[in-house]
Amino acid sequence: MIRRMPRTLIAAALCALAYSDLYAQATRPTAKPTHRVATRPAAKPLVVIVKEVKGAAQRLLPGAKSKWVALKVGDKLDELTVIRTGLGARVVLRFADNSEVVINRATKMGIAEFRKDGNVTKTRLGLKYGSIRAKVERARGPSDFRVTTPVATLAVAGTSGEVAYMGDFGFNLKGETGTWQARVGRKLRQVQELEGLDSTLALYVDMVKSKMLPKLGDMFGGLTGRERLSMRDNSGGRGAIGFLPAGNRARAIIRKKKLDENKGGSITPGPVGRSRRRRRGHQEPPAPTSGSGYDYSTGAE
Amino acid sequence: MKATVVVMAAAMAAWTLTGCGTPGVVAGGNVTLSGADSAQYLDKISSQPTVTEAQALEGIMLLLGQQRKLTFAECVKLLKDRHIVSQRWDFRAERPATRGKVAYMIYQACGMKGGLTLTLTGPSQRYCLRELQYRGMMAPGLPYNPVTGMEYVAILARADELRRTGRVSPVMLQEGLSQ
Repeated sequence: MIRRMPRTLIAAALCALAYSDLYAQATRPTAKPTHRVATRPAAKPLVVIVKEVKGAAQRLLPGAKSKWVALKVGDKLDELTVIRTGLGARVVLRFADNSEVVINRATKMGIAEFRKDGNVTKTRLGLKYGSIRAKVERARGPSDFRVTTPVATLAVAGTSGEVAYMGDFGFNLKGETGTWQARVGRKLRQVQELEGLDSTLALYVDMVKSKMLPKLGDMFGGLTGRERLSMRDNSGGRGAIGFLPAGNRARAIIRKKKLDENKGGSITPGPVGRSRRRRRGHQEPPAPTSGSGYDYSTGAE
Repeated sequence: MKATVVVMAAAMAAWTLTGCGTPGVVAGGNVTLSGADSAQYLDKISSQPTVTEAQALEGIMLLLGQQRKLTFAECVKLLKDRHIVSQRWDFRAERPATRGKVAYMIYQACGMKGGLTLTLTGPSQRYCLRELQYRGMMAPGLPYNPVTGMEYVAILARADELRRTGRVSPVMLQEGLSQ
């Protein structure tokens, strides 16, 4: 009897809770609340102006068919602009908040986001390869300036520094003024003025790099499935060249892209999705090959 | 018996000294290089797991400021004349370029001066690679491994800066090394 007592009590308590919840639902007013919800003003996109161009520098025109055009002084760039530079090239971008970014030689980067969100100027740049020098203006209000590389996200709390991502050594950062934060996964490292990254993040960078796929770009225009997955999994913020937002929205976009591809898209799926596709019984399209029989996707002859 | 041993030893020595390749042979010589500008070239190369010898030579031509639509054979000849590639190599347009060959070409194209061994024996794939690794311009690895696209882009970027300015900015080098 004593042993059964607690069970009876628990059952009674649960019944009482359920009843009270049902009662509360039944008596809850169904009318919409009359008080006004404070709506946040929509973030306003800002413009970037090309201040200086030296050497071969191009930008990707957004649209269905990707087309690269030469970058000229005075060009106004929007969000989701992708820029690539060649050997000996140099491009200076002046942001609307007076920040300045110098794109060095052999670099591919994207402006993922540049907008005024409240009183904060939000800037998100993606760096696929190469190096950029950023000088962030803070006199005109608070600024949230971040650079995403394939292996790390760098947030500028200070004012200037140089960031590089190289395919062999990974990313590197030299702070000039102020403090930079380098984040690789959960590992965070502060870089002060005149400091560079030391080996404390090297292990984490190597771990991220080992997860990455060797094919980070697409020679046929647009992004490959592997690239999209790699960006989703390995980059913080938007993707490394500024195409993808993070989190659930990125997954939704990738899902939509996959659906489009299955409906007859022309993008060849990479090896990441192969096992899953095999299980589902999909027929794999042949890997892209050059006319000479050399398979660029695998490196095999 | 003794004569056989001598012949075998001589053959072995000759094979060791000359290497197993066929020097001077250019396979796929009529393959046309893309003639793209350096921005387009680097973007394309960065997407590839390996770089073919034709593409590697095209990268060296761009490094030298020669954006021309040549055939592979013409490109080999031009680079041989400038001593950027070795006379003893054999060339195949579609074969992946190795780190040793890339190191040799970069060493020659940048007009570097190496250490004692390089000074005494002249440039070789092995010691050019070691020199570039010592300077932080190339990642650790073996000379006969193929170079990846992203790696080649990084090497070309450093070599270009070195050629134009005489130094490589520390942010582009391996941590802890500077020119």
